[in-house]
Amino acid sequence: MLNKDLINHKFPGGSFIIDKEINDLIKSSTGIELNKNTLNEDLAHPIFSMVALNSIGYTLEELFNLLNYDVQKGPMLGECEFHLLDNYKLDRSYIVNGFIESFESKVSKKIGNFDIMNFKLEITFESRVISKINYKWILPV
Amino acid sequence: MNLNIGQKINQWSHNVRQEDLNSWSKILNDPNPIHFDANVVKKIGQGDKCINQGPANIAYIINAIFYNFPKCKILSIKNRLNGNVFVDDTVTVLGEITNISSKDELNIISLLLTLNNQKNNSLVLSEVELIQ
Repeated sequence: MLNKDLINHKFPGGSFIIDKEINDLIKSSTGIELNKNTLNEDLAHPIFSMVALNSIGYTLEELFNLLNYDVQKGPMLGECEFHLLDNYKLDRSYIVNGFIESFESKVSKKIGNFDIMNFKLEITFESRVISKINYKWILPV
Repeated sequence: MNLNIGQKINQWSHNVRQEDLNSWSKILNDPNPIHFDANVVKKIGQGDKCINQGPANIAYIINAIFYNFPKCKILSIKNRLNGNVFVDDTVTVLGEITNISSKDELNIISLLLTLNNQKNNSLVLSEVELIQ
């Protein structure tokens, strides 16, 4: 049974540093030729708003364990919305915080009964918000 | 460059390689075997090739945005994930301008983009706002 008492549960939080190596790896693994000036070289790829998911203080496996949810049921990322208030820059350390906002129970013809877990992340640099992210995870029952 | 509502963006394509998935496993510190062991994917009935990481699919959307608007600032992206991208898929981002508005002498452009595979299945649908 999904532990829905975790509404408003705050994640331990964490941080990540964007260095040139990891930024180049993101670019080269998504079809951007390096040094071709397709992205501003001083800035990091905006996808770090999603990469931040691994800096919430839990692994996804730990998060699902906390929820008392069996990952063998096949949790899926349904939606991800992010707002960028500023650009990511190389060699900076970003702080990640977040919490579980809500759960919703639904039924679909395709997967039957499922719950939706909504959670929010906020990424800051020196107390300034850089990005806000809303996740919807689909958790088949 | 003149922009109009309804104007199609230039399509952007990428051929997904296993080495890309291996890189993303490292980037995300993600040990999930569906990204590097096709037998696990078969076992769970999700196909017979490794499944790409979701954030990589969203990165393709972002790359297509910068391909079309190199100097833009992305304000927001809302992504709905409808299906999986597999190794050896060729994915294409396409879409159009849905709105153009002005604020503080800046053009705010709204886009509706889709990430399709070679079978023309829409796997990610993204609503984007950017400043040009």
